Amino acid sequence: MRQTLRILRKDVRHLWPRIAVVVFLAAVYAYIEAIFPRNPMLMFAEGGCGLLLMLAAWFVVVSVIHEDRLTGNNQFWITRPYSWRSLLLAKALFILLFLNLPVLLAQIAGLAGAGLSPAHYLPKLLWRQLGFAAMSLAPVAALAAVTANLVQFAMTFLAIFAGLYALFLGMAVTVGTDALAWGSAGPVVVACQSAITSLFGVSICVLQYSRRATTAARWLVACGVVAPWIFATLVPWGAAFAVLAKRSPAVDPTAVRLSLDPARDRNAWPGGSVVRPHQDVVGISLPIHVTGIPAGMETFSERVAVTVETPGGETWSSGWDSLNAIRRSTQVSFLSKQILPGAGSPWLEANIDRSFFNKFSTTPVHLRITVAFTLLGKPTTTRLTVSNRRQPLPDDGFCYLQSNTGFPSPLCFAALRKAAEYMVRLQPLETGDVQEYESVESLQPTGTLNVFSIWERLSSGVGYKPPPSPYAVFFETRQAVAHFERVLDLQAVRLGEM
Amino acid sequence: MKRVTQVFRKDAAHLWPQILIFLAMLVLFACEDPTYTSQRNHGFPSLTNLLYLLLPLSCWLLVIALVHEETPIGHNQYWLTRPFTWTDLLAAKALFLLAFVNLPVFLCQAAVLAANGISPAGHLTDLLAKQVFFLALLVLPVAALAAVTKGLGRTILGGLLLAVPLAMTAALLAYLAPGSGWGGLAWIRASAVAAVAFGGAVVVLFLQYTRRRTALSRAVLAAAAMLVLLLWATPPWQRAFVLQSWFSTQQIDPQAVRVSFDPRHDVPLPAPASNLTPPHGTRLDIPIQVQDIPPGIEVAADWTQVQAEGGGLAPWRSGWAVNWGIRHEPTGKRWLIVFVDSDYFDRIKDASVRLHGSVDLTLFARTSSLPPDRFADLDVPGIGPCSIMKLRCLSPLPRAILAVVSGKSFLYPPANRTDDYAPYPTSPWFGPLQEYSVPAAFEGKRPVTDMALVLETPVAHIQRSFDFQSLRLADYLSADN
Amino acid sequence: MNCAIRTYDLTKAFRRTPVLNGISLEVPAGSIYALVGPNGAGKTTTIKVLMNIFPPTSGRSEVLDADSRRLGPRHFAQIGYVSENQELPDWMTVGYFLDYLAPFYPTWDHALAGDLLRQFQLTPDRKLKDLSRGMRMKAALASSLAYRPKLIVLDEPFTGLDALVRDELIEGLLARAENTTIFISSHDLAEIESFASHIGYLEQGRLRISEELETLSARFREIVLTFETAPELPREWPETWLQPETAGTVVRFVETQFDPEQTAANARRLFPDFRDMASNGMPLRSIFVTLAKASRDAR
Repeated sequence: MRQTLRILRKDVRHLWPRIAVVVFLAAVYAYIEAIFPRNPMLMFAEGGCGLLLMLAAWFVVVSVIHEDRLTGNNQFWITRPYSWRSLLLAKALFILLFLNLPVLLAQIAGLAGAGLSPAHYLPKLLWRQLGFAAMSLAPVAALAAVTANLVQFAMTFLAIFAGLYALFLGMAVTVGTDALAWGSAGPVVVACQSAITSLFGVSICVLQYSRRATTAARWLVACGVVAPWIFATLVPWGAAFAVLAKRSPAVDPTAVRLSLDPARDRNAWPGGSVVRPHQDVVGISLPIHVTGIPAGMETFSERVAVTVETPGGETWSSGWDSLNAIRRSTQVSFLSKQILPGAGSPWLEANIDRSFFNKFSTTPVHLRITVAFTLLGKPTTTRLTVSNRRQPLPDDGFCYLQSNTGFPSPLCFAALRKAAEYMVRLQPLETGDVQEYESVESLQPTGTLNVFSIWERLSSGVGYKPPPSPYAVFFETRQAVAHFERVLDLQAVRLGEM
Repeated sequence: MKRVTQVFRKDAAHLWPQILIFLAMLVLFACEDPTYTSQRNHGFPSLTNLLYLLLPLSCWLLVIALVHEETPIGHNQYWLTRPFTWTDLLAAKALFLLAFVNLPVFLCQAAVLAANGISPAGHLTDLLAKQVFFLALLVLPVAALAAVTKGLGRTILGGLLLAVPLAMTAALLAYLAPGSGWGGLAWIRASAVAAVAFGGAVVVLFLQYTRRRTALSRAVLAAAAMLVLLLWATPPWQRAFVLQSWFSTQQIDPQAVRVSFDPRHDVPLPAPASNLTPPHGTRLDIPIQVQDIPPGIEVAADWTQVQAEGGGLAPWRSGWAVNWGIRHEPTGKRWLIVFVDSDYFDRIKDASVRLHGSVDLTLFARTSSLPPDRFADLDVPGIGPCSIMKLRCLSPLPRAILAVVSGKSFLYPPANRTDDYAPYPTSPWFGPLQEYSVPAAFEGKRPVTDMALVLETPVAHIQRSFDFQSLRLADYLSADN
Repeated sequence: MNCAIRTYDLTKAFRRTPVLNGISLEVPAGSIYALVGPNGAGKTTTIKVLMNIFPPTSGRSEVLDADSRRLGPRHFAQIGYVSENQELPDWMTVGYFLDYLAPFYPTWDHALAGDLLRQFQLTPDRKLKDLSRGMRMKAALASSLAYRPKLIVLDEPFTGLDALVRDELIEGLLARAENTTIFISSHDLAEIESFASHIGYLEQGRLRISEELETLSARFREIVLTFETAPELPREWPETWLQPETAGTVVRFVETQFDPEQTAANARRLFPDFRDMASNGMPLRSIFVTLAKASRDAR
């Protein structure tokens, strides 16, 4: 331990200007977070400061690792009685004390400054620190451990990023971006990816510090870069959703039932099917009922799996296709059509392989449709008035309702809490159609780089077309309360009629 | 010239990895810029956001590496006692920047324009202007910083030490004095900032390469940074409006467009708050008439200055303020929006006050009218390709303002008219296009045959005075306070 | 021009630390001038001032008839500078380094460059960072000789090199230096002695000696006086006699201004009864050790 502390002191002595920059940025960030609820115009400053803080943190990690560089044979410490454990522990302690701790304290100060109880949010903050260390600091440290200097680190980092990005672009073109959108199952996969990344990061650091096997460590880095993404492509979506379903509360089997609506004209579906590029499929649409949605709750279909069995024993299955969904026949935005209940009748849309369809379009087949649902509950409703004043939301949230050229635009945040779904409802005070605009977070992830922010954005900030007459604005949120599957079994149906 | 190309070739031979990475990031960004790609269904928005950050970093990495090839800092560099002239070195570095930074960015931007149906040749001056601002604001300052620091680590640290206090001060100034931007004249301020940044960087590079006076160069760099900040924080400066008025294309009779008090108007209904940063003070809505407006002309207020006298108190003066404006309702009624110091208002509100001052106005003329096709994309003159379905346009630099009229009245009034009068783009960013919202929605069953898209362009910038006697300010207290 | 380098009361201080104190020297054109002195004497600083790497605090210096503060590319095209501390572009190969520098020198001789590579046994494809210390110095020297400079300045070129490499460097230097002035600083007095024509001794920023080596060697002698009985040292002691010591019936001292007759006369005057006087030449090392000790004793 003594050696660890000596090395730590040496590093602090040399790197104190960089530490000072991080601490200063953290202090500024804390101030911004504290006054943010009263000054949401600091949104860009908050984002910018958060980015700078993250970059400064990476810079300090690389600096401290390169203080006792591991690559090469000319470092003075190689022939000194350094214990590799002491060295590694000293670096870890440095990162903990001068990166994790200032950020944590900044977040705590931000909460306290905003009048919230830090103790109430401490578990979430600690969990975030773990994520920060696992997903951000450990990989950076690992890359620093296999590079000789900052230039090499920066070049390698950028090259990895460019390569990964190009890979994703290729996947998006071939597989389709929707297949990469995991919806509610996303966090399950992200958690696994985080575990893989941090495992690689730690392993690489241990390998380098114990053996300075730079070549092997670099290969590990290459593996560590692709492994999380290979995992994401190999792991079936269904398995991830099953994990989600297993962890969520049980849902009454009578809730959310699917049935066919034979009375509805099957040709009345106004929408078209959505296909991926290079996909030769035929879209089918089934008029269905979705009943038993608990009062005050909503649901939406994450993905739908369609299996077709012919009398002759041939089978075709779509797998959990993200383009298959239950949608309402209204003219609202594409994504909010999936939220039930709502205006318009629900239709089940699915794509069937064209050759299979052509072969069996007139044959009575067994159609088994499995729908993965997410139930949205714990609704909160707040009436907003157009003004520049902060309006409180339940659970430490707040809203500002602006008007951009007459289009009301709510800007809403909550402390360390996201909403699975939000709705903006414009309700005429006298007569007229209620306009509802819904958005589901998992179907349309915003993706922020600001990993430190304690203020989660609940709404997108877009403006909505108002009714012509005086109206009231309501902001509603819901949380995901359960995940489950429902099956619709149809015997002897003809695909050609759909 | 031979020595210049010798150094240039050497730099290219050594820095090819940095060049490749920068080019890769640039191409990725060009393919992925959400301004013109549909990113809503993107499976990885965080990566795209990271690309926004890493693209300039990769550019800066290249610039820093270029300068550090022959760093002016230190006494042991081999080239110090070699017959390198400083002109050779600087010329070689400049050539490298042009070839591997400016040119790829220019070509990428031209390709993006072409891919979005905009002719690059038709916007050549815009693209070149962007290159100037890109060089002045994003490239040369970093080169100057690299010239006064040794090693990438010191450069990053120096950058943080400069950037953090600058950014903080800028944010603090914006917070303390909200609404103090320059509105449509922001391009003048941006141009001044770019000129100072460019000049400061050039001086630093000159000092370092000719004399290696590092301490002095650092002082110059810090001074230039402070000057940039001061310029940015400068309150609206009337001479800028005089400069803007030189761009007027139409002569306005000095007797036309007169601002006078309208005693018949009432206080307007509460207006929707248009942004989260209202100016400080108590808002007054003074009913006015704007007389003798030339036909086909709309009027918008840029900057306003007001002085209040009376009530036995010392006069109060506002200074030039942006974003106060003139509120204009479809009924034809207008109000001059004024923010008075709250303490002063409390003391004077019931007294008889003289309110006088000046207002900088920009006059907009309707230049063309287009029948909107609900489902088609249009190429709107002065703007660029517009998608009515998606409610947006793409433009390197919008030179007109879009509105929707039904008959003679605005169905959807134009977006803030006074946003930008820039004759050239002043953004140094890599993306060449701005997204411009179409203030229209053709949903539902309403027929579109009675609508038209109209374009307005600013044609004159004038200043008019006003002098309102014997006002009781409390009578004009805005409902939006 | 009959002097390649001149300094006039040259002074240099870093902040409040004086490093050079009024150095005035002349390096005749065509000479091989060795600047020697203990560690920290100011040799490297002197060279860097001459090369316009540091500005002088006061005084001035001239290099190839130009004020050293105005040394620029035109002058550097005629000067070769090699230093043990110089940062070379490590990523370049030897061959690329020479090819890269060639266009900067109007008098660059590619054939000579090739000869130097062969003589120094340098592989053109090897990167500078992969070379040993000795090979690096050879590469630096080759890159400074290939254009036949009028002045070669070498700062501690032999530090850390083995005898063979030193020989090779000196041989390569002398073979190409017929009409060239060489200004070299070094600790290696034995090597310097073998080829230097002029010597300058720097101590604590002051130039104690600056003269031809032959003259220096001629005027320094170790004098040994032999007596019948153990003598006493006289109270009067000439200033030019250093490091006196007695050992039995022998008195030794170093004469710094040896003249066969005058020295003998002075010895007879102070020691009337010495039996024998021997005068032995001194190697450079011994001369400077004597001077250093005398200086230390004086302090």
